[in-house]
Amino acid sequence: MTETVRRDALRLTPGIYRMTKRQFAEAGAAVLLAGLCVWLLIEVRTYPSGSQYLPVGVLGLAILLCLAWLIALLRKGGPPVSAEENAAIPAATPGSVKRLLVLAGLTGAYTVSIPWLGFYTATFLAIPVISGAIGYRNLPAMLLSSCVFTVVVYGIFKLFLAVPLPEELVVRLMGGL
Amino acid sequence: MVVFNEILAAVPLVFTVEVFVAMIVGTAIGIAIGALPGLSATMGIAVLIPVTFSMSPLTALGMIAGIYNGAMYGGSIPAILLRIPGTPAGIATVFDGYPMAQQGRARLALDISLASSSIGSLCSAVALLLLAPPLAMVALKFGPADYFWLAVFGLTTIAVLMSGSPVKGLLSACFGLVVGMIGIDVINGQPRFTFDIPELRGGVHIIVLLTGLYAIPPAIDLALGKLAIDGSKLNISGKPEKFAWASLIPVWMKSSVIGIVIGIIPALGGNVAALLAWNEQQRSAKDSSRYGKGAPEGVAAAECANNADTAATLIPALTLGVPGNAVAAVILGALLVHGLRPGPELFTANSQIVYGFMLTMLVTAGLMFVIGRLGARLYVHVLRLPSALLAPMIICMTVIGVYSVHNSMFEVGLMLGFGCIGFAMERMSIPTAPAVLAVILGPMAEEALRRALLISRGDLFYLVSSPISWVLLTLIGIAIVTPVWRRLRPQVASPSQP
Repeated sequence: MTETVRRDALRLTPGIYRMTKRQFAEAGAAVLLAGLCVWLLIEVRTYPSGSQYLPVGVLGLAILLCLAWLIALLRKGGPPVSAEENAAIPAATPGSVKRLLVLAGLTGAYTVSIPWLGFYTATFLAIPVISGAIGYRNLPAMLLSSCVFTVVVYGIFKLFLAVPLPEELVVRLMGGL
Repeated sequence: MVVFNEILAAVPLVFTVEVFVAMIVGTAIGIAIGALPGLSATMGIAVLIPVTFSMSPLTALGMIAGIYNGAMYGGSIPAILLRIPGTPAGIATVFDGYPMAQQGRARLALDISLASSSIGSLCSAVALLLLAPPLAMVALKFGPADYFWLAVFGLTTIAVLMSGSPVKGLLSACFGLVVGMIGIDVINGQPRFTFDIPELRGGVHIIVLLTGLYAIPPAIDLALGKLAIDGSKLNISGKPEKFAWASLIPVWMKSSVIGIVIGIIPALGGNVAALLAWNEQQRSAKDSSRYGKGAPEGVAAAECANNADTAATLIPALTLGVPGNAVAAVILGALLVHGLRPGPELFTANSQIVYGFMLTMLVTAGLMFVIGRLGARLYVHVLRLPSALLAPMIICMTVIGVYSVHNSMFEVGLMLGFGCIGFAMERMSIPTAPAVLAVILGPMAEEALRRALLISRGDLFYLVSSPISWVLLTLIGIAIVTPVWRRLRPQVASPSQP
């Protein structure tokens, strides 16, 4: 269960490994993070000395850690990961990437639509649209669960917690009639 | 005696209608969340923290206690019926639970799991009530330098020991520390990392970070179909059978102790407790060959231990601010949301709430048995919920929940951003718990350090002037050396597991 495995790095010459896609992505993340930390360190230089202690220490440590991560990836194919961790991270497929992008786009659209449509209307529409877009095909189940979920959310936030949320488009339209 | 009086004073608060209903709802939701593979107590609490924001602290904490206990039991349902642990802590339940289900004894396995989970949770809650107050009294003697080292110790243990890679754990902690620094510096009023964005001047609210890091990644996994299960394999048929429940008493006693001890040690967790208890049960049994083939004692040991871990993880979390696992880290965040700062002062400044919270851990252990028993069939059907429907529901719930805290769409966007970061961290095996803990402990550490330097007029030796500081420094050293020692020591053959 706690067996330690090396990622599937391919040895080219002694001490140098060709990175897999995932290791390449990790190396990219390490470089990006290190760059971000350097940029933040430059920003920190303008702070008064008392406010600098912790940011400088943390960002300096983070840069060193990024370098250690990168060196480990380049030399040994990355730090060891447990078999559990390895199994928990499936490889990205074109289908999963497409689903991820669809989900991101629709979540963004849902968030942007809230101020115009109102929370409950947007939520009622978002659930069937998102679940349909990621491959669920049972329309009655989608509509029913969307309806039940919206009623539950309304019950919690409007009736029980009395949270003021943006006015619903339907209510605005009815008010204008 | 004083502690006993404090506990008695908190009893009426726990049994108000509001708190009791919250505990029932929390436990019911917790079991359902635990039953769904891929969803955990951490995720359940993270989604519901915004909902609890406008509740009274004890009502919110009662609901959280129910989710925590309930999810730990709920994880055993798919472990027994589908050979898929609903939560990481359910892994050892698979060993004997699934063979029992295959033998047509699924109902008995579920009953044993429920009873063992409740007993484990009860023992753990009693340990919390007995051990936390004296530990808090000791922690009250800490000075600013000791607090600084305590925060560093908490961060180091979680960052170094929780991840397979200390580098990644520490990077996660650095990320959390930077997020914790966003906003106005409370000592000299200097804005840090705000980039002239007015919404960032007040800092990043812990709810935004918790919800983003813990609720969004599982929702994405559900949407990607990673956690889809075959509901047609569900079968709890089988006649109720007579069972000698008294034979499990020694198992429960032993496993409860294992679970509590493991829970108190930071960075281990329910899965370690369950595996150790199962191994110990197998080792000490007269006929160890039955284990892994459907021994009821195996299910009892694993489930009792992983539930005995729950409240025990809160002992160092509530008293010292050092959580035992990711759920405890999220619960610390929930305390902060309600203005309760973890640490020894919690036991003096907010004694009724903290003792009330401990009592809710005890009461929800009992409620879990009743709800689990009444809703047994219903919870099995929870496994049939399509993941493609659950994913948008979780996203919508988090969006509404986060918006409702400050009526801010900026915070909703920030939460979704943290969700993307959390998903990327998960894909790169970077643990998220150190980041959350760093947001909580970072400001505490900085404040303690600066106070210590003010008291000592900048003398750095003040930081190592007390024996407590030295003890903590030694523990930090042990935490750092442990992964190195683990790699260098010769591989010891682990006990056999099916």
